Amino acid sequence: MCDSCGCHPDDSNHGRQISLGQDILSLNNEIAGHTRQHLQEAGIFCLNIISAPGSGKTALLEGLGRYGKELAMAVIVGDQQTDNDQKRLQGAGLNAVQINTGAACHLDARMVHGAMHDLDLSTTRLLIIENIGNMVCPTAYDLGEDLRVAVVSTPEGEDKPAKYPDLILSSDVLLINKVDLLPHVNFNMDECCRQARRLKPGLEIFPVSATTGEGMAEFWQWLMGKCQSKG
Amino acid sequence: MHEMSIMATILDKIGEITQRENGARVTHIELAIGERAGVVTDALTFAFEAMSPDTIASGAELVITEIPLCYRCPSCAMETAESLNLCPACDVFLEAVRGRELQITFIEIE
Repeated sequence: MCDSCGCHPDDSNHGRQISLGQDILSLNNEIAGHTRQHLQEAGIFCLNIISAPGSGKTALLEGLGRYGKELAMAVIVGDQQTDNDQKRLQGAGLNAVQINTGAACHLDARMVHGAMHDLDLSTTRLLIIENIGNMVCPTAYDLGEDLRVAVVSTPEGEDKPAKYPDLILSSDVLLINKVDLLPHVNFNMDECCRQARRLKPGLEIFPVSATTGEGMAEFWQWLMGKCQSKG
Repeated sequence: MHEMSIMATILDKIGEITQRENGARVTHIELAIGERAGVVTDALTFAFEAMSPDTIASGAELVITEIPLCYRCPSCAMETAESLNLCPACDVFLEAVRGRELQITFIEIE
């Protein structure tokens, strides 16, 4: 007999407890797993770039477009609205497709999977996903990438990693962009690196300027090492 | 603010499971949410209140357990909630082992 209502435990009206331990994002993660497997088989290396709006993600990709033309770099770029970034990236000679999320604040694996069908990836060796400008929500969604790249920029202040730990914790590398503005902004590079590595020990960090190209060759070289080690 | 879409996924999953188990309604839902899962639990509760009345989970009690961030030393298995760079004993980098969970732990159905 049940103490609460007096019914028999086998009574169909009695509440049944079902243990699940089920990952809420399991569907997203299944699609991301499918994407990852497909990219692995196709020999394509994939990055997911996350930052606040205006940190310079698109400018960084325009800059990277100058390197490694033989990789036939392709970009999936997410914004709430407009295809401005797709046009910019195509102008830089990149194979780019735009996702407009409307109300959503992040890209999910299903959106990226859909966008991949709109890209000719037959010769592509490097696929870059430029996420929605947001340092919180995109961190929860695996898109099937090999590496997650966090970007902060010097005008945002050196405490950005400490203020947005989810991004740092889930990323493999941090780019500190707009170092060309260092003489004009109040930014402590050592403190920024210290705060980021306090959250994520051993995190790779590259100070770069997408505008002047400073530091970009070093990042590219590191990235190529990662591409090759994947095979 | 992606808690609404997270809650929509939770309600879909719970609906599927309840149907599969031949339940008529859900009375209790427990979630485990990591400190660093990128989800605000208050916003998730708000989303539940806004979205559940039209679903099989209408009137259900929602309990959210927050899982604090935990680092572990891969060498000596020492665990700490503090984001220390290195294990004080072994001098190796600590790994984050808990705090990113986003799970439905259990439900009660009738």
